[in-house]
Amino acid sequence: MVPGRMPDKGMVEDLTKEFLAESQEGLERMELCLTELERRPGDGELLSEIFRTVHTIKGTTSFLGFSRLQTLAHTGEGLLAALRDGKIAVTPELITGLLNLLDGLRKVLRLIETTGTEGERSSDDDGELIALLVELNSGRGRLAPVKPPVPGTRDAGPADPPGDQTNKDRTLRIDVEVLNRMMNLVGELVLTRNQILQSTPQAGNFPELARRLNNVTSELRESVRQARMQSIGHLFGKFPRMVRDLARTCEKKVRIEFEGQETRLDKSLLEAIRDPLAHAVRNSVDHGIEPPAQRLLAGKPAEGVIRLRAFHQSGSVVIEVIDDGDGISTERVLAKAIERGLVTAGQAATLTEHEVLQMIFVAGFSTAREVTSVSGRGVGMDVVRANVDKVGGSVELESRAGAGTTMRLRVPLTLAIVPALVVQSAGQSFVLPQSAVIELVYVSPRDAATAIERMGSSELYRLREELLPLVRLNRILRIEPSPAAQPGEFYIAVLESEGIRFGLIVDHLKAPEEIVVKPLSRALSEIGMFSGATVLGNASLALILDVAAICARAGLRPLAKNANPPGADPAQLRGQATAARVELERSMLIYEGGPVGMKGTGKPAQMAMPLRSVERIERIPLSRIEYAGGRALLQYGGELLPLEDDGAILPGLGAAGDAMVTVMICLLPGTPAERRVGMVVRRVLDVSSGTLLAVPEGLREGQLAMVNSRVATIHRDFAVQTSELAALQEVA
Amino acid sequence: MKTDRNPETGADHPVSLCSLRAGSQWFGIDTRQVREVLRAAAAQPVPLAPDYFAGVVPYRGEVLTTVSLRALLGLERSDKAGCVLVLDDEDNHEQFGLLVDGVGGVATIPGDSLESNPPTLDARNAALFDGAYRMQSGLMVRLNPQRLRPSRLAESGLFGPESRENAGHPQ
Repeated sequence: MVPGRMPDKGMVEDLTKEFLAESQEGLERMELCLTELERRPGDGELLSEIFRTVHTIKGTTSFLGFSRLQTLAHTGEGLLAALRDGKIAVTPELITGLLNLLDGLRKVLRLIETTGTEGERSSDDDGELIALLVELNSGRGRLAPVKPPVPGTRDAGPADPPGDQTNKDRTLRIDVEVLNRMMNLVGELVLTRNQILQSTPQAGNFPELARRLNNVTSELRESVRQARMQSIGHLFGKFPRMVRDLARTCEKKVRIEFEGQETRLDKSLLEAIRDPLAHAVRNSVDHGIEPPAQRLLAGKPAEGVIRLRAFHQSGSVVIEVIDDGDGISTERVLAKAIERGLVTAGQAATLTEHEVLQMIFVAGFSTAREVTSVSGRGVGMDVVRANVDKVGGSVELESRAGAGTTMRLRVPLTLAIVPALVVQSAGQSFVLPQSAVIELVYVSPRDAATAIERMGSSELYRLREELLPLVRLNRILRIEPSPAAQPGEFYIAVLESEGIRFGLIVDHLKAPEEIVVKPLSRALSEIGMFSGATVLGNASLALILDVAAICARAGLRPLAKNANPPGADPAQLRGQATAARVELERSMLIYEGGPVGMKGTGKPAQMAMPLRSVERIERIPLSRIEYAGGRALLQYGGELLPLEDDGAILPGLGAAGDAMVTVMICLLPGTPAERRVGMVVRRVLDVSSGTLLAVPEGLREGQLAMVNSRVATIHRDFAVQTSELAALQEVA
Repeated sequence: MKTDRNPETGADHPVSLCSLRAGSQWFGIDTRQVREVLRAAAAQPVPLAPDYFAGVVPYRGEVLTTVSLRALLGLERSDKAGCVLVLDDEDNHEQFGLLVDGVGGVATIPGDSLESNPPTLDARNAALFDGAYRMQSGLMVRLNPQRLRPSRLAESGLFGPESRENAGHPQ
């Protein structure tokens, strides 16, 4: 492989490997230093660091016999020496030249890594680069402007993050301390095992041994987990260079700042968010930050700032990309969405600002006025979201017009642990991801015969007002029902996937478990129905069901789809799905609230609430309600729930400590983030179907519905949008 | 006709084989390719998978896909618990299990005594067998883990046409 200077080929290979890893790390530091040097040209420390890297590469290459690298490094070293001696000054052109050198070195390193040689093709000629460096060294470089490298067109492309799988990504640096601790633990594990082998379950010390085994195992697992954690600074490190190059291409001035670089994250997750993050930063430079002139006109400093901020928040890691640019214009997003046919003008009027921003994540959407080489091809944000979704994370977008945009990536700390529900069908256990489960219905042996209704070959269940299509798990998996299973009682797991709701019939439910997801081999994952497997608490294996695949296999499609020509876009479908939902929302919960509009006077009014919005009804002691800033609050299931007390019920109860309050936990409509609110009510009366009424002029407090031939008021937060109502009446 | 198909095994080096049984036939697998033998292992069946998959078995924190040798040979499914051999295919980084009825011991045999498959062997068996050794107790058929890999079995299309129908490939 390598022109042999030393007889031992294996040793040269080892040395080469080590050299590659070291050089790549050195170059990464050099990249950071170079972008920093442009900012602080007088910093001798930085210059020495850069000099050292190039010098080390030069030294090692001559030893290993890589002459092409040596020549490059030598020329670069000459230039850096001149810089250190103050013969030439730091200019943007010089920095670009040095960055080009860095790319050149990287390119050769990559060639050595993949092919074992420095490359002999005619394209592998460094003449141009060397000429450029020599020219810069002579001080004439300032006169001849150097073309800034354009990301994407560069063949070396080391700053292009996607698919950048170098030696470095496959190796991991671990603190020797951590490694020593792991070794100690393994030693202890071996000792414990020896003792267990000599012991018997009846022996007196056996429980003690089992306990120790348990301790050692969990400590070992924890230290391995620690070793896998890497600070997010590793990921941030490549951005200064990227931002610099992009800013030059776009003719903007951009500075990048970091916060929380020490936040640690599992290595595999770090890899997973690498591309989405790079994309977000690229977008910020290209679309977010305005050209300097425009910024000055807007009263902002010419230089834009992008801030990358990472921190922990309730079991997940949040990474924010914040720019102080122009923000996202919702009008432009809407106009574009209408132009692209993603929404109709009518639907557009009903969308909230938040919903409009989410349209950016729809495939084929780009608001850039013109397509640039950097971004704006309309692929991107949808890919960002898809990638983050894949690891169980989420993306949010916030924008303040004129003041900037914040993109928030949220990823779990570890990939593999998922809350799940274990179900049984035909004697076999399967796992459903908890995220897909909406509710569970038990059908007793007495009801079993009548519970399921049939329409042709399909089975349906009447869940409240809705007809739920049913899928039998054993049938869809083609497994024979075990003869031992009692005919009669069964459970329906109401699942939702991509907007489709259906009921899955299973024989039994088992306790919810936190499961560790294990991948299946390719041959089995090709079946397409299972997303993995897991070992349950009783040491048996269970397959994890892919809910979307069950939907597809059962032939379930969104209801609205039938009415649409093929190729209709998802946003339109969503709009129709909302309309369908509105129809069903006519099932109402009737309760006694406070008198609307006349606080504290008159008799309690009959109120109605769309049943869909009610999550639970709770009776809680008055003492559990807390007050902050004049608002009543309730700690509920780990979140702080604001309480709505329109009827002034709480003050009416006085300070009686043992009084009980009825609170309806409701989901606010139109908020994708599932905001909840607690409604304080006097008492719950009934569930009934009602008809929505158009709001009479002058009554602005809420919407009216006709329920049981009496008028009931719907709370204003839960009122059906009038436009939607109109659309509904049109349909009806 | 004496051949040795495994280039790694020098012609005159003895090979050590792990003997195993499916039905009444004895087979042998090079011990270097057997990682571990799990005795009385219960495989969790995988619905919709072709018949030759015995299912999945937990192994060292991973999920091991297991192939049933009985099913590959066209034998009836056995009710008795069998053994699972954990096989390692280093070239393809694929680890999988082979469910057999029983495991015998280790036999050491001269490397050059492998007899090639008879021309009358049907296509399915020919796809699995490397050849056979003449033992005192009868023929020991040599299996090659390379040929038993789950992904390779799926590609060959030779196995379980009945189950393929039912598996309903979505594409």
